[in-house]
Amino acid sequence: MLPFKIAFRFIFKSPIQNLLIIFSIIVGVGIQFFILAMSGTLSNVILEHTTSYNEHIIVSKKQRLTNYILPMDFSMKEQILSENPEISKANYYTFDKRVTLKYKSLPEISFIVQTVDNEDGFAFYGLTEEKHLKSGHFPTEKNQILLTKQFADQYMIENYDWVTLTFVRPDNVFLHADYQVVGTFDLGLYRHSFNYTVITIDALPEGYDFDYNSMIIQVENPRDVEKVAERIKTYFDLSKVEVKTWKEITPEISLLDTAQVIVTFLIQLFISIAIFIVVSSIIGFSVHQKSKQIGILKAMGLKDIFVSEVFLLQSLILGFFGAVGGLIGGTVFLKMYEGYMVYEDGSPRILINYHWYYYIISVGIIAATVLLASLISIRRAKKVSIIELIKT
Amino acid sequence: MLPFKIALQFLKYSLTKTIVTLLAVSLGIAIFYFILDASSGLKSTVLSTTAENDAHIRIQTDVAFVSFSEQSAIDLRNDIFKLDNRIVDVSFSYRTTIVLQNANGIDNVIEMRGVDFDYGAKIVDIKKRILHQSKNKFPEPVSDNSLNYDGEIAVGQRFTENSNNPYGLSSILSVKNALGEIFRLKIVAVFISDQDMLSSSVFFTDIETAQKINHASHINFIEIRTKDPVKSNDVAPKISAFSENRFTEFIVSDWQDGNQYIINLLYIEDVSIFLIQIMTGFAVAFGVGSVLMFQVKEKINQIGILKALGLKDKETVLIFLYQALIITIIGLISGLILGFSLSQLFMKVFIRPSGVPLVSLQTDFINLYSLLTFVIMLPTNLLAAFIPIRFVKNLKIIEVIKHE
Amino acid sequence: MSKQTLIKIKDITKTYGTKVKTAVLKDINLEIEKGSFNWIVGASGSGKTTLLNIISGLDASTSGKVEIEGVDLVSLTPNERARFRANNLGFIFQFHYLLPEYNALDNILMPLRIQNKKIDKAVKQRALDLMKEVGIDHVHDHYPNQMSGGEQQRTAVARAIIGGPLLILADEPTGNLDSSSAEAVYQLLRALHQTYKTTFIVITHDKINPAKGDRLLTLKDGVLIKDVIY
Repeated sequence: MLPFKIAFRFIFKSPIQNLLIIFSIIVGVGIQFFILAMSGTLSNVILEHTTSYNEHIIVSKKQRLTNYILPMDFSMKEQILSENPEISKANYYTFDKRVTLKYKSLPEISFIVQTVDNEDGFAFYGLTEEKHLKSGHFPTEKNQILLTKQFADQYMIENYDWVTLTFVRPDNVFLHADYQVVGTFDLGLYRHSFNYTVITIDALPEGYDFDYNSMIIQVENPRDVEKVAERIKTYFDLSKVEVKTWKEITPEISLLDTAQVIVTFLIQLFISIAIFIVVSSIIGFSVHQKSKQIGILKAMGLKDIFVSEVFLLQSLILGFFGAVGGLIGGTVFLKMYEGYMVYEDGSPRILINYHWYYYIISVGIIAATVLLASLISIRRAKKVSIIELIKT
Repeated sequence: MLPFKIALQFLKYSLTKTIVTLLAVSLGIAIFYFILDASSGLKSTVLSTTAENDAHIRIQTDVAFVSFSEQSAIDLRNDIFKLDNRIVDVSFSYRTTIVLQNANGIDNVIEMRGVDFDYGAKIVDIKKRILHQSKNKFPEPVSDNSLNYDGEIAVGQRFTENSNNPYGLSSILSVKNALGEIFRLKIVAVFISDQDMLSSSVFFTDIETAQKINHASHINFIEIRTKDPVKSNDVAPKISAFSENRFTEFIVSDWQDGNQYIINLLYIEDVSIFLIQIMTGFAVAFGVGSVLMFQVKEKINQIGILKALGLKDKETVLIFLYQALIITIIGLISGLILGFSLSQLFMKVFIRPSGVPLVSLQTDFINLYSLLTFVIMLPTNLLAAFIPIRFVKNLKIIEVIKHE
Repeated sequence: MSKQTLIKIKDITKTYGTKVKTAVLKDINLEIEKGSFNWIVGASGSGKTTLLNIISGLDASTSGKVEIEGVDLVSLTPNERARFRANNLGFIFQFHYLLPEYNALDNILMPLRIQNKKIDKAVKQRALDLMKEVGIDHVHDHYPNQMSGGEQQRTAVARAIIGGPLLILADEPTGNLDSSSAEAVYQLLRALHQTYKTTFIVITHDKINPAKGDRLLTLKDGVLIKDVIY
């Protein structure tokens, strides 16, 4: 109790200086926390934009095999889903690039049709979420489709209009099928092209014959996809199929994401070190200033450990208030930033994750600086004789 | 001179503290520089990886065309250029689709773009992408009937890497047009691209060859490149208005249509990084200011002695100003060296499969960002030293001596 | 021996505080002769240090005037005062107030540097000679934390005298020293006075043995109660 009281007394004796010290710590912690949180959010923003509602793992036949079609084994699909909790969705899938779309009198437009094994497959591509539906309604019949908002706007296709899709069979036979556009969707994410739609296999025209298919898989954590891919390989005959991850298919995106993560991590690291150094010197100075008092206390016969306690407590108190103020200030600033980053309609552009570990790290750094600074100063004070301390 | 010497001596005396301060300042400066450089590099990488697989603005319309030296072509091009000074390139192309049957009998649909490699050099940077490899040459029309191919093409690196296609430089491919007619094309260049769609399923050739494949004599795309891709949506309306007056049937596309989320991404990055930049600058200046303040407090006795010995107020202020200056300049230089080394290391470690650095950063030490860092951080740090220095100026000797 | 007045102190009063006024010095009138050795003694709180600070221009009086060689320090600007101090005054404080960042020699040379004098070999030699005179040449390259209390104070004395000042003011120069070191310092001051004929004003509350010619001024509660020349 006594060390605590003495520590408090020392703090109140020079209020302005200590307020300044606390303020400096608040600024240091606040900046460090803000940058930590911002960088953390930024580091994921590229990944989210490129891998959400997309294929993370693709199992398809080896390219050299001409006539092999991946068997649609639904029980295996269920098995995969139940045995691998990291997998959120799996579907049998094919896509056809040789499709053209005809609408009214416009020339034929190049189109892609992605086919999933059943209605569950729509969720894979985010097509069951209300927030992605921009107009109309979700398809209820087999011959109804959704178009991307971008494509519909570009070609001025209205809801409830009919379009004709022309498929080309491998033997060059043309198959036509009419579909009604019942709505438009927008995932809000980057895509190479917007000329596509998603339908189920039974919505394909009569006589359609696809020459290959795949199983597509979505995982909870796209960065850790390789581990899951290794396990997936065990379900298939690897002489006939190959298992590829999004990182292998679009390595540039993976590298870009890694680059983003590394850059943001470096920023966090450097800033933390710089702040650590600044705050340690500030706290170290506040202890050094009290050298005379250390000497007097020791001269009065107080044991070294007692004296150390007083100064450690003083630093901890200052550090505590500084840290709390800094974290509150940093959080408030972040909230203000979030409020600023909105679209014209008020919807947020960015969602900041207030991860508990940002708080823990910031506090940890402060605790480390407080301890280190105090220990160094106290050790220094221990080495110097009492009389020299008083004389300073 | 004396204040400078005293400043130097003060710094030398508490060498450890000085070094630690310099370390903190260097780290802050290094990060400040690195953020400037890396964020701009990342931005252009994001754009080139995700967006720039085509011209920024395209007009899809049929226009009769023979060559670029024809007056009508020259006029059309100039008219478009005049629309906005942010337009940096205008080109025409003939695009069609062809089908390539690969080794396993599977049809590959390929987009064939017939461009002019001089006038269209900047569009999708195709010229740069081809020049990357010295063995490449630009596709040219084939007039010699004795050759066993009908045209020359440039294909993407991904296309050649696709195990289905055993093709490389000098290979001759057989392709079919929409009517099923067969044409033989020789690969004379393999271009690199970050855009995997461009790299795997787009061929480039000269306009004449592309027209030959479809027996056409017109061009069907006008391609426009803007200085800043992010600003293309400002220019597009002018293009649309122009097209209304000029063409009967047309479709104007802006790369940003449907790529709003890239714009969003870039905007988020821009603002966030700008904030981080300011915070970093502030943190560094704050660090310098507070360290100096505590230096001043520690040296309070010395200030008093020197004033008592007859040093003028202004001269004592200079001592601390010089300290701030020395720390700032050494910190700036070492910080820039550190930051620059970091960016060079970054470029060595992060490379694309083609061997080119993933993110293009500055390669000369004296560059826009190092100069910017210097110009921003020098006065900022000196400004931060202002408060402690004011304090020194107003310090009365009596207070110092009584301090005891 | 012609007697010249160096310092004229007229009606000096110093009061502190606004609500409750404390008079630290009351109507001090005094003239100090050039080349004299003066002691100011008195109990703690008698106003000795305040008087010294006013004489040297480090502090301002509430009323009254001080002139050194005809110059009224209060009328000077702060810069002019600083210059005056540099050129004409030497200080010795109770706590030595050496600059810890410089060794003994450099501490002694500092007043010359402040006066913008060129520090060549000759000047350095003069400083070393002075250090020998004062008895500290063996520690010329030592830093303050490497010297004893007595050596530090003698360094401060050498620093005070190197510029050849008109007046040396010493505020309890032996306050921090043991009795034998204190005695050594007093003897040193006197020896320097003999050699350089500098005017000295020394504050002390030690028991001193004034030499012939010394002036002893006694202050009590801010008033000059005794003024004796031995």
